[in-house]
Amino acid sequence: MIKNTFEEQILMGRLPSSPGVGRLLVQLVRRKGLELDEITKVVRIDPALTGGLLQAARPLAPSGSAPIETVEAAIQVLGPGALLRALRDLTLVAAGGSKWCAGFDYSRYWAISLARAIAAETIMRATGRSGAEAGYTLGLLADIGRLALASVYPSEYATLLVEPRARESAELSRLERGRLQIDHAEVTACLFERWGMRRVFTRAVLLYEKDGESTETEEAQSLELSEILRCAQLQAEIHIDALDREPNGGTSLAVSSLRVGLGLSDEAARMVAAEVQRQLAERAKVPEAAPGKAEPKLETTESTPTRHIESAARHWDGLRILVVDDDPMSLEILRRTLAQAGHQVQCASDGVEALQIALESNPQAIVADWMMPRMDGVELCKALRCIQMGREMYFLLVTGRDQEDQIVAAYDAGVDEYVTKPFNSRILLARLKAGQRVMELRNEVDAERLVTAQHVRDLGIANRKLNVAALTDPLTGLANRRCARNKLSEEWQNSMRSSSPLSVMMVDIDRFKRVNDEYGHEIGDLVLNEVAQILKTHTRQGEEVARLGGEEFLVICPNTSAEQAAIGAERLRAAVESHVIRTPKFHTSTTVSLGVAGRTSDMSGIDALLKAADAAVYVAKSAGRNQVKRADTAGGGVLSA
Amino acid sequence: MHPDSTSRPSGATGAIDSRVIQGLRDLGGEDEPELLSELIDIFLEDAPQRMKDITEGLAGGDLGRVERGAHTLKSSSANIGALGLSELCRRIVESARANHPEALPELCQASVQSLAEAATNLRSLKS
Repeated sequence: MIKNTFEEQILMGRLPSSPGVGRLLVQLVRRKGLELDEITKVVRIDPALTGGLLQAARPLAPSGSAPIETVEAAIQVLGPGALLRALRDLTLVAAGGSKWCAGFDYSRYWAISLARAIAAETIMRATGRSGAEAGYTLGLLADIGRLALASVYPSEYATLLVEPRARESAELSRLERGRLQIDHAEVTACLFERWGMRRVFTRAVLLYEKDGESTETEEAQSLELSEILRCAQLQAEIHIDALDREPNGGTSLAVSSLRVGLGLSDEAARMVAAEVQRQLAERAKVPEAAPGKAEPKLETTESTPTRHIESAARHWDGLRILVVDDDPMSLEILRRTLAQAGHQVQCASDGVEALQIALESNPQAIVADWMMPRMDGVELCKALRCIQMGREMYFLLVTGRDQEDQIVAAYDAGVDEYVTKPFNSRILLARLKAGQRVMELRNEVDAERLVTAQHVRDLGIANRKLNVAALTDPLTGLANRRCARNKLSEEWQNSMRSSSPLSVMMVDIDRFKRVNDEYGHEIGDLVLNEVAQILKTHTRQGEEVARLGGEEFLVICPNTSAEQAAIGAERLRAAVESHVIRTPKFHTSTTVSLGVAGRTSDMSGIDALLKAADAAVYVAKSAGRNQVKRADTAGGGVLSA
Repeated sequence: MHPDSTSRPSGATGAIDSRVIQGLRDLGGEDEPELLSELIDIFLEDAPQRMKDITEGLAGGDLGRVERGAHTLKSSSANIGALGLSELCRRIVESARANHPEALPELCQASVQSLAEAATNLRSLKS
């Protein structure tokens, strides 16, 4: 009932994109003319970029226009200038290192997200539904909460992921709430709101996580979308894990999920499933960071065990350096020189290879030759400066003496420093040392930022705890009066907007004072708790139970008429009556009186609705307790007059 | 015409500078006495490829390829101490860049010879 907030992400920076997407985007962004079609294609693959662009476009959209739900629409609204700025700010690439959450399978996350997007779009198209383009976006972003939690709480999330039960989504949510006071579906919903997604989408991702529960009171469209998401997720997994290769494995599952979830005939479900798998085979491919390239070569001086210790001792002062030179001789000499000075060195033989390795392993410094085939050193520097992580790298250019007159152009491209060839190793190391000081200063700032970030994250958790405490009744764990009023106001607005019915049940424990007087407060509290649990377990999905105070409870029933609510109320009454309360000394039972009221057009607000329900409880009590009365048949108007 | 381009290239032998070699030995130090011969091997393997870029580029009229090959060979030969070869490569780069192909055939011939001598000298250093 309590709406969780997730503010950390604003302050924590951005969500990561895959190295392959980063590589493509870097190449596109640094080209002269903006190729919008190409950029659109790349952004569409990536959840973080898609969400970021939707958010960037949101304030620029003309008021009253339709919500921006596709990358195409966002790019159109942004225009080339704002698009470039947004992309440069957004492109954070997941590379190895402590910033990333151990145990979180990033590649699988990206692969499944893309496949789910394609599957959702295809299902909607194949079943003749409108808004398939927005369905693609919904599919792509439906699980963004997990990426956000892994990014904001990398170490906490890692410890949570090692638990075997974390593999199951509902269990994972439970673990998340236990540790972080929020689960991934709630985070997704928070991000959806920030990105300006429609409410049906936000509801759909929340529903999609609650597998198998009765959702008959929920809005039909969200429910349908959540079913589409579920089918899309299944097909995405079948595709990624190649389950369809097993005889009768995935395909029949996919068909039955479409039949049951969307009410398709067997034949139609078969056709849709086949079309989805066809589309997936064609389109569901996250670009690799380094296509056709071997593992990045991490070269260190750690060739023998004794070396290992030695270099570990020196490791503290060393930098992670990527050396780029097309001449194998120079490359080898550079590598040796730097490794001997205690740095960790990776090698690349031209700019293109260097860019790929840099995006994957995030070196602190780059030493690059200027003249190289395919992509030269200055081009490499320009490309890296396009993205966040590339701007933080120290870039040392190695130039021939005959190029010194062009060095201004190199500085313009973002080069930090240069050395001339054939280089003097003492000068090279001295320049790197100077660079290292700059980086250390930056690290100190970063360290402070990290401390602040940790505070922000802790604050996020603490705020949610406080939020829960402020809105929860400590005895029963139910929502308290304040929370109930908030929720009821919200539902009141919804019901006015959509002209749907809204009802409440006021529940009062009969002769509760006598329990307290006869058996003491301890037994009284026990009775309150037992009744609270009965109400909680016997209300329907979408209904909210709150303790208003004393022995008085409220059940909010959205999309429910007073007649329907009265039937539910009778179920609650019977459940309480038949329940045996076991105390340490004796067994007893209790009864409740319930007053039901539905929203009517003459009511001015929630207080009028609550007053009507209250009056109905009074009637129920007067008529002998342990019964349900409805406001419109209880003569509430007469009684309250 | 550039006065330099008609004169016989001076110092264009395959001699190896002993100070550079000592520097590379020092880089290997006691830990890696084999470093020098590894670097020589790298050079001996790579240099003919670059020379091929120069000669074939010239034959095919592809001055860009000539320039790239000479540029790389210029630095790698300097790194291994073949300073005469490096100087020849520098002049090839200059001529190619300035679009003076008339000086190139002679410079190329000299550099092929210089590389052959340098290779012999380097092989003898390995033993």
